[in-house]
Amino acid sequence: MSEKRSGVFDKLKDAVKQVTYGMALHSQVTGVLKTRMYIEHLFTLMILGDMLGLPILPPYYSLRLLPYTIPSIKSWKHRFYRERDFTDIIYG
Amino acid sequence: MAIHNTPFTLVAVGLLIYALAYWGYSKAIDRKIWQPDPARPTPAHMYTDGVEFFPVGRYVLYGFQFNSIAALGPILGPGIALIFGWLPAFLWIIFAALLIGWVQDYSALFLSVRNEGKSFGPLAYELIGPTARKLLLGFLLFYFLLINAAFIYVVAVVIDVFPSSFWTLLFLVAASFITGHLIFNVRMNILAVTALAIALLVVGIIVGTLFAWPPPGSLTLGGKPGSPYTLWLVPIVILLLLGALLPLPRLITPMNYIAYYPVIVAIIALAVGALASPLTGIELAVPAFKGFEGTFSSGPLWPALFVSIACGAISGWHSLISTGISSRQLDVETDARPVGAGAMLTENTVGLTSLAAWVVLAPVSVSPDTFPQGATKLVAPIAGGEAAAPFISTFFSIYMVFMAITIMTILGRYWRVVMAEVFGGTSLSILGNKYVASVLGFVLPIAFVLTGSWINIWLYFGGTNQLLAGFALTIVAVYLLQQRKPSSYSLIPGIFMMITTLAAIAYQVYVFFVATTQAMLLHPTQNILKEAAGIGAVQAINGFSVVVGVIMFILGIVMFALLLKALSRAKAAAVKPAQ
Repeated sequence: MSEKRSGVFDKLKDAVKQVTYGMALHSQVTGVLKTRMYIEHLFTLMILGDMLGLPILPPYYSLRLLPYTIPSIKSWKHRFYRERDFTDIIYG
Repeated sequence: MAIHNTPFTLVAVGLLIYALAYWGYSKAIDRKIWQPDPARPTPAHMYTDGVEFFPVGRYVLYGFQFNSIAALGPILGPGIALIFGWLPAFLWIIFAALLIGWVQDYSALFLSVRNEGKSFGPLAYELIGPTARKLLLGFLLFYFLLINAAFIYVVAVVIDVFPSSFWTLLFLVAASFITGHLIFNVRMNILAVTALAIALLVVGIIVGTLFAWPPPGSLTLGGKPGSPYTLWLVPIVILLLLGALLPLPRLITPMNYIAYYPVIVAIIALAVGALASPLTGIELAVPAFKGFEGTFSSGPLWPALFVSIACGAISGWHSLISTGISSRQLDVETDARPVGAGAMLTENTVGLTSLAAWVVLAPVSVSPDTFPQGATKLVAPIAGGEAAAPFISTFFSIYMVFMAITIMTILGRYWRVVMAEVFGGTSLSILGNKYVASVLGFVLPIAFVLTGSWINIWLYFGGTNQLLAGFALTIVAVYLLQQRKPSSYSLIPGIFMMITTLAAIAYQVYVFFVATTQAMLLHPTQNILKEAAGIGAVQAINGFSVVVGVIMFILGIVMFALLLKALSRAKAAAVKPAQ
């Protein structure tokens, strides 16, 4: 009985914690993630700019830095190809 | 003391109705119409990018959705609705909570989830047509102007009457810069930073209350407290520009985070104060019903009541959040009800508790600065009594200021993007420039603020806000019709809201038109402008509101016609139900 009660109490505690996080921090965390994403995409553009007709960096440095941009290429491509509407941009 | 004559009754009956809405009606709609399938992948899983599309637990998303939709609407709207007495306001809040408010938030969320997480613009494009998307773009521009106008008005008036709130606001800004630096640059522990920020805020409230300078009304034209013709507009606009132009982590991110704590405490305090009213002896001081006629400024009960309470009953802003953000983070379809409907019913509760704060004061003129006084009367008996009252009224005034400022800084950024979209690549592309657009976004609303007629600005804002909700409800109905599913639960409220809001906007245009052509003052406050700049200035300001209202009305009517066309097309189309 007491185990059941403590299970319910734990669940309630967890729910309150998550709701508090959702209210206080989730949009801030998402905002920070977006800021990081924009910077990463800028970095990707610098590295791959040569291939896109924007020779920003000399190929030597692009190749040296290429491994660092590989993890974000998928999300960059995804975002690059996704048509964005003005109603997509609430909260930045 | 009769218990039925206390705010307790309003809140208790309301909560019972909300429980019925959540566990009864919304559950039935969820099961019978949308039929959520926990195995069907949501956009959060289909397009995971870890930034916009990623699955989030239902409790987190519920908290986020509530925080994003909560603003000044449910706090101030009930005050205007009191023109007709507390009973119509109460009935509309619970009626909307049961049948309309959550319907919009939840259905818009589900519509987007079933359509690859698309936001309002692309959904309007696909379900109604390209013209609808363009109209929506224009409509949103004016909508943002009116939100900013209504909120800047509130902040200016509240700060003028409660100067303590300005100094507390400065503490919030300082705490935000410090917090942002400590979190993002120093990478200090979040709990320690939060404790520091809250301590700064408490100091801000104490310092603000003790240093309440200058006296109310000393920075306004004519020296009348509570007037919008005030120099406080200058620091407010500067702060908003900073918020709109600085990088997010510098000011907005930490400010919204810190502001959350006093806001949530205020909401809980109001609810507890209302529920404890039989013990504290606080009674309803406003008559239950004052008649259907209203005033010349407000117009009759229909349509004015239905656009006054805004987010506390139904709000178009919520559909932008549901489709633009939450639908992309929904983990499983079965979470749509707790997130969409649950968050909206919580917002309805904020509307109800705010109504409780308004009704405990004897009838006075409707003005934003009345709310902190009512809230103080409701809460002070359970939080320190008379000795604590000055601090409590500072607290509730900053509650209003924080609610407005945090939304306006985000709107400022959004407005900028919409301006760039509208004017980019045209001969007026300068208007899409980051700085020019930001300045326009906060300076143009001042033209509305200077009308000095609070009720009319609010009803304009409420009209456009609820009209957007009517669009969202009808777009959902178009989709359901296409899918051969029952749509009347969304269509009937949608049509009702569109007709009502268009009537409200038309009436407000009429009011401003009469005031312009007959050189009439809409509110005694306009005397200040008349004395300072002559009746011509009053007419010019009122005329500006006529022009904006006419544009909004035309956009609304055309959109309404397009929606009706889309509905008849959808009825005729034979599409297999989505599986």
